[in-house]
Amino acid sequence: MSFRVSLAVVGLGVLLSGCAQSPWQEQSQPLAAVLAERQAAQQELERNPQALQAAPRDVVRASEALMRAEQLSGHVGGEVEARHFAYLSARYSALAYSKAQLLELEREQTLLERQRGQLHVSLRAARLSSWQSDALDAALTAKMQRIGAEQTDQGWLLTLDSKAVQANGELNAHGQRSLLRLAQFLESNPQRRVRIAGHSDNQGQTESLRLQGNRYARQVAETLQALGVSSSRLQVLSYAGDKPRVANRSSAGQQLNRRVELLLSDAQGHLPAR
Amino acid sequence: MHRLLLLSITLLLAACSSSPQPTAQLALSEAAVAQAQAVGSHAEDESLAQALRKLELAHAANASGDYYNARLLSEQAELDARLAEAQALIAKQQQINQRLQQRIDALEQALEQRP
Repeated sequence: MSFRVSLAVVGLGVLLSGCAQSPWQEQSQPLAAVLAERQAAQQELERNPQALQAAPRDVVRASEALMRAEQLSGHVGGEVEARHFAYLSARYSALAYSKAQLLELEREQTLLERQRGQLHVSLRAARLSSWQSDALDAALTAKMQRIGAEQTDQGWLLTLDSKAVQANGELNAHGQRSLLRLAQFLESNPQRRVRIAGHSDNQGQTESLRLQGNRYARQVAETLQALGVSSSRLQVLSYAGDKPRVANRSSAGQQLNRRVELLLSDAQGHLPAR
Repeated sequence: MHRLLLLSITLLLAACSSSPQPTAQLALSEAAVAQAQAVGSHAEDESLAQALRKLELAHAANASGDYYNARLLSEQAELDARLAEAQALIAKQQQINQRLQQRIDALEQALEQRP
């Protein structure tokens, strides 16, 4: 070996020791094995139509990084960098698969939304036809009129005003009579349900108004239960002052707005959306 | 033989001694981590945890003048973070689709109960 060659070898050694070490790098697997594995994975990636469509650039970058890694693996001292590019290649590959999955999920969302829309339309049509049959039912109309309910576009509605349901929650004779007739109707129509909604005026904080509306509605529900209607058939809620019948300007108006409304479901027990 | 040695030395020099400070790459990796976190990736997610760890190591290497490792680490951190971002987006989308499916099931049930 010539003097110059040995000098070069010594120089190389010095350079290697002076070169930055990368102790953080994962090196448990031999480089050749890492590259062979990546090569196979890359071929599979390039045959994946979803990945090619969703992330063509990441597929190309994965391939470029892998070529870089293979070039570097052939050079003395190139191992750290070769492993680095193999890692980058694997990451680009994972990114391409993730983007493909995301695209797939987004397409699924579009389909699901379409399906939901169609179901909404079918359900609305079914509800409309069952309400129409209620509206045209003469026997039902007669019974509802005896109870004191009126026909609305949501179904049959019984309104108990603030004379029927007093401020202390007590019911007057008129209110009692309406509820008794309603309970009798519900007994012979076990599929029907009732939404009991309390309404208040707008004189106070929203939360206390809601509680006030709820108290009226609950009083009515308890009366119906005492008359033998199962609580599972009663939906109790409070709209507070959100749905006034008239303006709250005068005390007479406020009095009209304090009320409980009982909405009868259709024949299958379905109530409209709140 | 001589030529090969010279080539190796040149490559080593290029790889180790003459690494420039990876300021732009560090900023890019920081931005990728911030983006992943913005779409809901957590430190418990494997990819984001790796990105955060490597970014920290990259900053330490950069501060000690080891620009070579600072560059490798921050390049890896960038891709780790971008993968974490994609995975967080997938998780979100899966939730959206799941909720839609539940809604559809409920509607189908409501429709079946009708005559």
